[in-house]
Amino acid sequence: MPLEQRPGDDQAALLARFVAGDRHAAEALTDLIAPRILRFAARMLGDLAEAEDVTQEAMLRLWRMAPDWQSGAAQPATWVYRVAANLCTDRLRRRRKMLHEVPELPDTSPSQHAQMMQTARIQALEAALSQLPERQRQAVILRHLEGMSNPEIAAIMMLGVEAVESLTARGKRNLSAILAGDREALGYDDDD
Amino acid sequence: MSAPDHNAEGRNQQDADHLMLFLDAARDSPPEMSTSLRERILTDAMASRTAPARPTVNALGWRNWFSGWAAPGFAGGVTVAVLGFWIGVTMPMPVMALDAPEWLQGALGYLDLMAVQLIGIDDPLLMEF
Repeated sequence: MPLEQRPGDDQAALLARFVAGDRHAAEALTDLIAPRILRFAARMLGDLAEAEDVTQEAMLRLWRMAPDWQSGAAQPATWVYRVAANLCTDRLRRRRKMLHEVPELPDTSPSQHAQMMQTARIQALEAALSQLPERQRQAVILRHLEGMSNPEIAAIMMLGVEAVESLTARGKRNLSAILAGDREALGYDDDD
Repeated sequence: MSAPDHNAEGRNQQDADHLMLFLDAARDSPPEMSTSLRERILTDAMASRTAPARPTVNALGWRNWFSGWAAPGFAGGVTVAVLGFWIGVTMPMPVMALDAPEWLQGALGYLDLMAVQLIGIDDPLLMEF
């Protein structure tokens, strides 16, 4: 979902209304921003509980920042993404690298098998993402899982658009290489 | 273009296609935000609005003044001034001291005692300077 301002979706105006005491504005901002931050943090960290903590902390910083928010600055969502990215970086630095393991698939019925396969693919992707350098991981998640445009990602990562393109391309190449060995095990053979 | 180049290109395309399948799988099952997380975020929002206002620059100035070196320095200055005034005005007035209250005479007597120990004379006025 793009972060740019759309009619009825003026995040800065919602923030101003929140400062003026409008609870509905806080709810609207939460519904608009927090789910995206949660998805991003969960994919960055590979842990939903930690992602929830990061989301709550990033939103708390937005509420505290709200009275001093300057109109004309970045969209609040962009700012919260930046905060969340930094919080994820802090947590990743404190954590040991996750092991890249494709989960074993138990013997199940065909429909259960499909479900398990889907879960296993997601886990394999998360494990592969965790092996990417952090900036590449951010760029790939924002581009290919969050569906953002390169200028939006550039604003979040505070980079040029060309740098984002380069990071995304390298990230995808590395991901393909990491996942290459898992394709057959996860039902993606050469006939796909 | 040679055959190996064709093969490599085809392989790259196949890799990209497979990666997209992994990414599609992840996109189809995004982590959902729980109601409890939403409530926690909104509780934080309301709490941050009712938090005490940050102190103004003026209030901050006074607080810094009292918590830094200025207050002790000022207190020291006042003490020295009062003591200086007391020594300068009260001590060289032995006649007045005769009419002074008992506690003051006691204090002066104590000072005389110290003066004897320090400079060897009973009455500082006898120093003739």
